[in-house]
Amino acid sequence: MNMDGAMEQALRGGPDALAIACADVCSGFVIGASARGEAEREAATNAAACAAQLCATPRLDSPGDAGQLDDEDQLGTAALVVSSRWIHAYARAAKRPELVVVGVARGDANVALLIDWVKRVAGGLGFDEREAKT
Amino acid sequence: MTAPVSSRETGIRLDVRTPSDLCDFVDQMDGAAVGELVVRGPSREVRGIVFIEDRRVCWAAARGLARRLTELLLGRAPGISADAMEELFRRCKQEGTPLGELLVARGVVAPDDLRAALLEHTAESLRVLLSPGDAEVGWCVRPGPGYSARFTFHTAEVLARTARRSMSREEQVLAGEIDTALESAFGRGGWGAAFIRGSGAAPVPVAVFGELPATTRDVLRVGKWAASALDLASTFQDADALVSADAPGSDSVFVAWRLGLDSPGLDSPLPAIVAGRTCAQGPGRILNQRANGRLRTGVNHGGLRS
Repeated sequence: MNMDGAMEQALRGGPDALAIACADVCSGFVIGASARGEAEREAATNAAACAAQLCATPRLDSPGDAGQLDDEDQLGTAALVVSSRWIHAYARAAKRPELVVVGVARGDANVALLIDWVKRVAGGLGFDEREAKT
Repeated sequence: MTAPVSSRETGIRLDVRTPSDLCDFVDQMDGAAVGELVVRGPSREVRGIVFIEDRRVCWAAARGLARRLTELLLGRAPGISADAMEELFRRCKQEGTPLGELLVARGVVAPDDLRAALLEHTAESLRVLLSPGDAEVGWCVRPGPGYSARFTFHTAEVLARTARRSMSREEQVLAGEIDTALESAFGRGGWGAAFIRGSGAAPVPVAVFGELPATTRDVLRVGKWAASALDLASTFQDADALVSADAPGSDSVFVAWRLGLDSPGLDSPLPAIVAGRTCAQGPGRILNQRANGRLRTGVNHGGLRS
């Protein structure tokens, strides 16, 4: 699957999005990205490199030795990092949970629309090549 | 009539050195257990007692701090004199009835004020009981009815209040203000905590709010997650960023952000982390609150559009 092409196509439909990238959280590589400019591409790539940790959440109510805080985290499906300048929205591909898509927009963009879009893009990943062509 | 401590002690000696150890022990207890942690010094003298019920801390009493509870209650009950309070205190001791509940029943102290006084007194007592680091702690089963759950405490509440007591007076005042901020951010059904990073690796809670998870360890886990996530986010985002992550298998999210607590009396703002669990709409609500706060201060803001 041409991930750069898929990201480029996705960005065309992104509401207020400046960039989008996809990371393989198992290998740790960013496997595709598209952006309005080079700075935005770098921003998306840097954010995508942190996808594995940002989409992990603490596992509560799990047994363990007293005082032990390092129990394994669990995989979350989506995450947000929002400041007054930037919004980064993450979503995990349901069919290929090792893939996480991150969309980047300015801080005054609509967070709900951005996360909804990123989830739709992630939801479209994971089809095999034949499915993608049809 | 309650039997003397020595005749009811189980003989079990616990490895409890710090308030955090104590919270862990209480969290791991059988839910039906009612009893007392008897804290002794190196020469076996009883330093004080921590009353436990239903995995909650009822209150802690330390030698020399009995009058302190009266002071704390008087501070919250301006309508009663010190002598009258002492008299009530003596009568309750003789009759074996809980003083606080009598004060509430008579309308001398409001329930929330009693709760605050008991928590403060418990935190002060725990520091006295455990701070030398040489205590020997034993478990003692207690017969008879328990305390009113309304005036007992989740271990995380106790740990937070104990941690707060190690802060400067200025910082304690600021930490007190976080209570209100947590309530408005997390609202009904959610829970949140404010953490500071002490000398240890893990963030320590100094304020908690809401329907806390079952154990203090879970609260600490969320604090640790928040610190890591915010550190990571700061490599590509602004320092004021809010991080949220969906909690798998539920419609709730974990959320975290930094809070700089400032006051003229401090050399620099006290860096705190706020983290907790809220509903799916929670991050939007929190972002709106933050945006409104920025608007009030005239600074440009981001966040959700309505």
